[in-house]
Amino acid sequence: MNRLVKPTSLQKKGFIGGLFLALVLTAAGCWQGRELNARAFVTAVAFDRPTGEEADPDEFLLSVQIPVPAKMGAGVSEGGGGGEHPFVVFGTTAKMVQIGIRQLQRQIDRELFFGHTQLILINAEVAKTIGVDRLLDYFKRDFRVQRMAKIAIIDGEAREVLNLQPPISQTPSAYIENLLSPQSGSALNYITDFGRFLVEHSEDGTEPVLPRLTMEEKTVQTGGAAVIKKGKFAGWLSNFQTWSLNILLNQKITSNYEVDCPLHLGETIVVGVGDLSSHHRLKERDGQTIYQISVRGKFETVEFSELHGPMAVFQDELEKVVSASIHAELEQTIRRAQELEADILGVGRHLQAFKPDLWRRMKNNWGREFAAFPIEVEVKMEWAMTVRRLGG
Amino acid sequence: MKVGGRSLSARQVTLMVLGYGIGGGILTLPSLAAGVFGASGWLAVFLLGLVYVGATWIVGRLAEKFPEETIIEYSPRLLGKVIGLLFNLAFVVHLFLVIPVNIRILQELVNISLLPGAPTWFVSGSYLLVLAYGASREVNQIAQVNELLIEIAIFVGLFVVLAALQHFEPIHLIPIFSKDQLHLDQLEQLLGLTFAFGSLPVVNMVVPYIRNPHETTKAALKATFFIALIYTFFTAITLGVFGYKEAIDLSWVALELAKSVNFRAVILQRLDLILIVSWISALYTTGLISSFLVGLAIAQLARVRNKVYIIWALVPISYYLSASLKNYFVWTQWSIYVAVMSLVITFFFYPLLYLLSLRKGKRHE
Repeated sequence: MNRLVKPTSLQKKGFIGGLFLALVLTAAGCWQGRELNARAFVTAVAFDRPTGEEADPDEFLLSVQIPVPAKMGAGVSEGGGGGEHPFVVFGTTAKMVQIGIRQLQRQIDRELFFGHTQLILINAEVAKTIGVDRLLDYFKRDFRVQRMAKIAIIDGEAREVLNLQPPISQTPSAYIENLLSPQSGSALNYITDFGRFLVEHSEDGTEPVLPRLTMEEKTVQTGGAAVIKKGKFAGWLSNFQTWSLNILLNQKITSNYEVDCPLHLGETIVVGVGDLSSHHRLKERDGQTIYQISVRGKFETVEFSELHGPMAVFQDELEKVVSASIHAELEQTIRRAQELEADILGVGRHLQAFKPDLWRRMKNNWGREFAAFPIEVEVKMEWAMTVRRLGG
Repeated sequence: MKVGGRSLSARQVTLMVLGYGIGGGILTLPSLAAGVFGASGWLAVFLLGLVYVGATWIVGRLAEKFPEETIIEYSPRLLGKVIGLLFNLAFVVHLFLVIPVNIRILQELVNISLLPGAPTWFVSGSYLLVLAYGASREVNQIAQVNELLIEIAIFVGLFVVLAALQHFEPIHLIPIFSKDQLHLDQLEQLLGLTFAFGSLPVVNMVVPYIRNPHETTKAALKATFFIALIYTFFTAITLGVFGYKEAIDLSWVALELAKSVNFRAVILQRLDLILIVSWISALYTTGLISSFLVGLAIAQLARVRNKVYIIWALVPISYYLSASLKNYFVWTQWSIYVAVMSLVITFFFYPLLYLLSLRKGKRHE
């Protein structure tokens, strides 16, 4: 073995000097660096049908929203920035996203940067004809695009959403992003993001769902969801179907519900539903495989149309009424999924995991098999009874 | 035992095996495992880890039989001059080939996230210089640097993995070895899996520096078992988060895992950057120990007194080779060659050398 030499003073100085130089060059993170004002940060992207009547059906209108930093000061809501929008929207028609970006770049004096893109909005018609795969291919290959970006299907023109001025002072894309996030507090909204969509889309035996945004006159509304089947828009889920899907998929939602009072005909009780959990399993019955979903949860009586308030006497009946109401809505959602032949519940994924032989026989024609697959739902709700006030 | 005394503790040896083994391989391991074994890739990784734990016992016992020498010194005595020389050459080449792959992985990670567009001459060049400088230090200094860096990297890596549990779905980990998902015909990917486990040469090269050589086997076993656990845990979480199909399609699945984690209202929103910065440490420990071992092995082979000259002389070759690994497909292919050599050495030559050493021992008796 050989004796190792000790470093000389010159070597040490050289190392420290080299390390310092490397730090100076790299710590600022600006190799081939670009100043912030040389970049156009794309906060949202939208896809629509091209406006011309004779447009190529293979083409789409790509729009990008870029904030204008000078107009994003504190006074936006008071008309800051001269009362103009704190962002600009550019659009172009293309067949491929990268080609569209290249065309957009010709109109913009800064490099388009997608590292801060928070929203990808797709018009339902485009999602149906072109499909989401081609539209998202660029974004799933670019390292800079975040998996946490929100993605939604628009019932209306997606570009209009980008032009929307938020009602509360914040950036427009942050406003839409918040609407699509759990913080919106709406149980009628399906919570997902780009990363989760990619996972669900890649899996066998499950189809992804994306939230719906609907353009009203000057506002945008969440609620409902789009079912994506084999990469294309297959149909909508209504607000309550989406709410039910959230329960079925264990999305930990809370919501309010109107039910008839079990004792007094015509009276209404509003119940707050929460602590919901669903358990999925495959069961054998009479030689047939059944998919069973058991839902458990708690509710509170939050409002009464009459003055009697919570009464111990109708506890059992009320629990049954609430369970039955939720059960009916869950059934509706399941029927809707089967009608669309789109397995948004992950039945196929369970078959693949727990009954691989059966899955092997069904997988090639899973859409149709799913439509006829026996799915049972069992709901059991408990009255939590943490009431503040008894009686009227 | 001629160099700087027996300065390494058993813990340092364990960490050196970890430092050499945990590097770039783990970043792509779940994708390879999913490609061959589908949803049960995590279990395959664990079983493979156990096989390597078995191999480690042999390697450790072999090292303990020659506490004053490295494998380069005693292998010609056991295998004969010619075969011993050929084995030594293969051993050195296999150690050396790790370095260009390691440099290339670093280059790609830096280009992906930290310095897009930074040229090879700058990133790989400066990294290689720091590697060579580090590797020319004494073994106890290398062990100390490794001790610090690998612990930081493992800590950050585990933090990212635990944070990703928010998206974990256990159903993604089954079925176990379903024939639909097994692709054992994908031999290259199967071999690529073993690349991440090839840290055993450290044991046979550092035994002359260990304070208590009889602790070698225990220290190496600890390290290999820990590596197997880390790999299994990481692969299970990754497959649990992405599902096996998405995991197959992702080139840098560990970075995607970090990208999928979101801490709202916490300053650490971008975990991928934190992971990359800390994982550079893990890459560095692999490159550092590898460069040290190559320098030491060639110095012993060529009977050169000072291994420092060899380490620096290898810098341009390493640079040239790393630059020739022009993209992901080329360096993954290269890593498969390294894995094949490592497999042959681990599962053929180590047991053979151990058997020969036992026979020789009996003869002496």
